[in-house]
Amino acid sequence: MDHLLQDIVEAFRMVVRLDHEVLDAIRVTVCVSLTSTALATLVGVPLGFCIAVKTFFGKRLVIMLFQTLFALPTVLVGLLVMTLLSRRGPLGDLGLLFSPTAIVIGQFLLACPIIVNLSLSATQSIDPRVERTARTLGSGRLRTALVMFREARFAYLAAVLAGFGRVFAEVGVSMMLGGNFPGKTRTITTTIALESSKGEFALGIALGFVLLFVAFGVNIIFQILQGRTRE
Amino acid sequence: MFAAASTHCFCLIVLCGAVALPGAIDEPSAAEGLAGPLRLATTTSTENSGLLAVLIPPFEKRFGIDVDVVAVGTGKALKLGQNGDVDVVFVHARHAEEAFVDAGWGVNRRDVMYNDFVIIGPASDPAGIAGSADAAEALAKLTAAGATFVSRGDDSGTHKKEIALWQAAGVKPEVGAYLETGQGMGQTLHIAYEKGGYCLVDRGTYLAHSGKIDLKVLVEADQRLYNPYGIIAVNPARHGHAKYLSAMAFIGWVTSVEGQKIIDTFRKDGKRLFHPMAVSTKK
Amino acid sequence: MKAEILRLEGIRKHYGSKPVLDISELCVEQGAVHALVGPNGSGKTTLLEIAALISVPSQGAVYILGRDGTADETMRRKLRREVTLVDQNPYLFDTTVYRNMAFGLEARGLEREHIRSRVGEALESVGLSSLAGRRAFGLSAGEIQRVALARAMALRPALLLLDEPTANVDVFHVQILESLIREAVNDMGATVMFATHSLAQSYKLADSIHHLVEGRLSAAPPENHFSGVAEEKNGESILRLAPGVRVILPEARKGQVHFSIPPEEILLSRQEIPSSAPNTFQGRVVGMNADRRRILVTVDVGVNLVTVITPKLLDDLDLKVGDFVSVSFKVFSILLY
Repeated sequence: MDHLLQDIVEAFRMVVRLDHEVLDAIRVTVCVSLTSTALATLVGVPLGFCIAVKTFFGKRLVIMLFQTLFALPTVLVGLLVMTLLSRRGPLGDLGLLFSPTAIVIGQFLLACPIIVNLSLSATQSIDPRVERTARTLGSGRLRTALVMFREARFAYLAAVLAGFGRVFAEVGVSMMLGGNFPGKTRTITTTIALESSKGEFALGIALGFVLLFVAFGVNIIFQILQGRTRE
Repeated sequence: MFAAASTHCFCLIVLCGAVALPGAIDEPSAAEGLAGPLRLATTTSTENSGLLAVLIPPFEKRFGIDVDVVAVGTGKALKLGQNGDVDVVFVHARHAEEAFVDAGWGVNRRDVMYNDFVIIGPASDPAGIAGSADAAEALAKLTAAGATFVSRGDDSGTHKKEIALWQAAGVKPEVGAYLETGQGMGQTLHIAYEKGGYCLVDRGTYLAHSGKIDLKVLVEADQRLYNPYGIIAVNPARHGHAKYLSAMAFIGWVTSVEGQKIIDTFRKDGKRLFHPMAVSTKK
Repeated sequence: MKAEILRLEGIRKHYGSKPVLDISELCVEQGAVHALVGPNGSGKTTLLEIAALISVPSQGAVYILGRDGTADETMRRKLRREVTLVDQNPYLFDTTVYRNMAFGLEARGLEREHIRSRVGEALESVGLSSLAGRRAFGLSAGEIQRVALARAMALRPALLLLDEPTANVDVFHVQILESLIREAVNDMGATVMFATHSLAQSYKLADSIHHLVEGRLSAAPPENHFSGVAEEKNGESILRLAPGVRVILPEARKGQVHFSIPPEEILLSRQEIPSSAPNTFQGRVVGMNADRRRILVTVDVGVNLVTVITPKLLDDLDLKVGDFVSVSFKVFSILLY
């Protein structure tokens, strides 16, 4: 038992010293997951909005498809993207495998269905009077869409945070597509995986807490942004 | 209002993109006109042994290029070489390496070092195999005693070696007493420890974990347990973009007197892991 | 000759197969207050939505300031700027009162300074200047109505449509809103059409009254229109119109209620109908009027009820003024406003 305790204390000490490997891992994690979440938001929120608002042939099928993708396993996405980006694959000439960009692509595919789905329900939950009121006040289509967005802004923000949570803590895609190179593609989660494969469980746990701490920090920033948009 | 928030978000995005996105940019080296970074595929046990952490930095310094190590299972490492996703492959699976070269995916295969496998098990040794000189016989004895054996089950070098031993023993392990973990060596060791079973492991990984698990070396020194490592450059004729010159420089480094000396003197927790094979280190 | 702000021609509206509106012609003159009166479900909201060009009629044309708003999209969008509709339960955006008011003005491309003065004016006219910086969330129902009205008035539309503006507000706000409606016309020169179920309110405020019953315009005010205070007794809603005249209402209501009974739904008979049957009264015939194929018989049961009978029935019953008769009508024939 004191073996374990000793390990944990030592691990935390290592982490608290914030040696440059831990800092690198944090930097890579934050950059990659913020980028992929941002891209998924740019694509996913308008897509969710449009699907909710427009009627078209096969709408139910499309919604069902996105809901199924909720359960997309990270390893599957990793495999698929790897096949695409491998030198042997169709996009091989870009030489993107084992780079932060490859991780961003994979995480984008993970975050998108979540953001689309939750934006879809956010849009559906908008009070139907919003659109009507905007139009009676003479606003055109774009302005009406913007005001609808604004009225449900907290629900959309929740969608983005859910997408972020999914990619921030994942390891399958980061490992397979990044290559786990220290300082370049080694994230907090792949570091944890590496350390636990070496049997360094205590260090893995300590890093896990680092992950939560960083996530907390990012959430605080989001909360502040949320606060600013509430006049 | 909304504008303010979206500007904040946008700035964050641009900032991160600038840092995160560049991925495929190669940096030519000032020194020898070698292209970097060099991509090396190796096995997780090799990476976890810590050898590369001492073997690679001097090379990086001298030749001025980064070496990016992808640590995966043997099968995947060779596959990455075949696909051209890495420039050089460093594994320990003789037959697979030879097939790799024969198929034309790799060139200039060189022996680098060897370590050995050991059969480990609980200190109480219920199957009574301690000290056997014949590893295959030991496995047969294990099965007869109904003891649990924990296997990698993942087509790795270790797993292939294990299969070869079972074949040599001419027996099949009992279904209930044979556990396939499908995971890396570290995880497999811990499972063997938890289940009180026997396991085949490379000495390096065993030493790395021996502080945490209470399993003892029971069978060693059988010639069949010998585990040679080979390094192969990815064939530039098959993959034009492969950094052949850099790969050759690296192969040259690990098989040089200096590189071999580093391998020879590498210790983990005071114990030797690898024996150099490429060049005699005796003066 | 006053100009015509709004003209509905041949308007029909169906929801699925259910006809909801059938208006052959409705004209709204400039500079007046018009009331659209009718019971619940008569189609008032639908009519206002069509007039505001936010709902498309199944058939017919809507002319605003003489131009056809149902012709094409561009014209529709353009004319929509001339009409503003305030809902019965108005929605205020989740932001400050000021921003709510500014929304429509920004949509019209007005400059900041101009917007500021218009909003200030409008808020002052509804007496809510102090609320400009307040968040819309948390305002009382009466305040919401006033802000919604101010929001619409700030846009200075040619035609202002209000759907039951005082339906959900407290007594204090009813008075304020009613005077605001008059002011909108007098001071702003707007034309106002408001929907209400209260005939009394329409008499009070309007220059011109349009009656809507079951999707159709009716020339005259409805017959048998009464109001009174309803009470709940033994699970029923009862209204005493006069001593001995207890009317059972179709819905649970309390307090001031307006209702009418279509003359066709009132049955007339010489026989004594058992008084335990609901909404049954005895009385004396006080008047008879022939109107094409129908005969309107007025019976005094304590209040005057007008019923309709055929000439044949008149013969069969050998009815004369002064006769004692029984009248009855089903609870569900009552139209609540």
